[in-house]
Amino acid sequence: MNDSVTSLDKGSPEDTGIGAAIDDRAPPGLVAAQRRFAAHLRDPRNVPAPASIEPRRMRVYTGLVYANIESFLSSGFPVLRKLHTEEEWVACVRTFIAKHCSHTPYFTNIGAEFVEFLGSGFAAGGASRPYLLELAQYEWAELALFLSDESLPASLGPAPEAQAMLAMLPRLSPLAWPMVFHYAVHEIGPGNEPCAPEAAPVCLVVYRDAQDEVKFLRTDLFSARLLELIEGQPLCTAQLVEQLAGEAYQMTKSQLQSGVCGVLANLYEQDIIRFADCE
Amino acid sequence: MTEPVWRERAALAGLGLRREIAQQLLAAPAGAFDFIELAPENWIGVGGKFANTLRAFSERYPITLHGLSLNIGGFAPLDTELLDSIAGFIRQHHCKLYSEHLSYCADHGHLYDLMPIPFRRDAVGYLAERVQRVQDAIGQRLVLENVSYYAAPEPEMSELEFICEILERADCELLLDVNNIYVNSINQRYDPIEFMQGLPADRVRYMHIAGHYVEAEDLRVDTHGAAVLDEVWALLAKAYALFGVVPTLLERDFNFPPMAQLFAEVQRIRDTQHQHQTGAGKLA
Repeated sequence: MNDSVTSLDKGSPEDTGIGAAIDDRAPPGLVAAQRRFAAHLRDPRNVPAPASIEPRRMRVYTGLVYANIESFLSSGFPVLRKLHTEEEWVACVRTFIAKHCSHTPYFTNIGAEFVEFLGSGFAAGGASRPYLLELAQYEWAELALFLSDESLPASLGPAPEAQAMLAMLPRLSPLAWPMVFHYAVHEIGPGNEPCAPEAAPVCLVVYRDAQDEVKFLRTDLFSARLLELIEGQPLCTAQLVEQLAGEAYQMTKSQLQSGVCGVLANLYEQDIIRFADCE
Repeated sequence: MTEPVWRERAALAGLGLRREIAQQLLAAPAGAFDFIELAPENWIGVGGKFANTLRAFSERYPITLHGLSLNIGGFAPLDTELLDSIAGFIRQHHCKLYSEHLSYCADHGHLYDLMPIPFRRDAVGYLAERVQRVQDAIGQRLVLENVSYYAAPEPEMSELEFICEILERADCELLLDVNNIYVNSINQRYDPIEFMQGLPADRVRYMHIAGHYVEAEDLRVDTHGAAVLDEVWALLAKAYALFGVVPTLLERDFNFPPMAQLFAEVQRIRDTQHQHQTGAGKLA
């Protein structure tokens, strides 16, 4: 299995935000003064404060910056937080503030910045607890979907019968993220930390239903492959069956057809997919 | 009780929209507050249940915006995508004004907090020009807030000179944060009334009032987590006497009391406004 968490670029809202560039009208003296001040706030233990400022006052700023960002992270990643000791967590948040350049102006997207930071190799626990990164990706998916401004196309009533379904085009809900993990991230918690990756890939769909509740569905590999195809180029159900028939499933065509229709009906009822007419 | 309506230079008192108290605010008795203020960076691009909450407020109350991430005083290029999104949000929700902090919140990346702009002469023209670009982008005057600050790195001019010059050169408006003036007057050891007397009255569009945290007798931190002090109420009355009555917001960000206590503080804003309203204001 490759590193295949698929949906992390779906952060909402879309933004590029700020980065390394400088406003070409910014006075160099101002830039230098701001860099000195901010560098200390980012890493107060290693970067000296501007000399002219009383340490007690500088600590107000370092305290405010840390407390604000920490509160976003601990509320956005409650399970991840619980798997860290106080000391580990403080170190993780401090490193995030010191090392990560957050581009997003949106407070709702700080979680995406944090996952990016963890993915770049700063995960506390690092090599000894590789599942922490996947857990963070899963917790961010839950929050991002809760906040997403995408909408689920309306349901058209009960799932279509198999014959009708074959001629229809299944489309993934923009509020459904199929994800594949090495660990059963949905079961991880204090007292339940995995010793080793699962024997088989853990396929989950994290999604928001028509009542705006965020849920997950664990699927088998067959359903996961089907979802992967649906996420790709538009294929009607009959074409999906054809596609899968060419892959190594030990099923007759009719078994495959009823298997596909059964899975799709279930995904439809859970608000993970919708059907459109083929053109 | 008629639907709340926004009027400039009017006796209106509002509350900040925080997700923790959103449902309680929606259940508030009619007339408990006149408008709602929110941070666009917490609500832009948000759907689902929070979007429903926002729509409910938008249908019932005038909305003002108080931005957090514009980084107007920073050295990174202005985030034009953020500005476009804010302009769209203003149109969508018919927001009555957009205010931001006379501050910076980022170096090469966001720090999500308000840092003190060095009071340097070369910063004034630079900042004024950025404010003008913002005003062009959103098609309205920007309302800048005097921030609380705990350190003034390498100052070349006073805070008052700095604020007045930027307001003048940018031709923008002032969000007079009364609690910040009080906090700064202690932390920076100046007379808050003298400070207010130096501000341009015709640019005061909107006010904030809040509680704060007493770190030490000579060090107050603007946390918005406590009731408003009597000294700050007195300063609000003085501000109305100097600048006239304008819509005023009670900021409360955490450590929420029972709603009745918050509404009582909102009512106290109104009472203070009514004591200082001119004849013309009462007719409006």
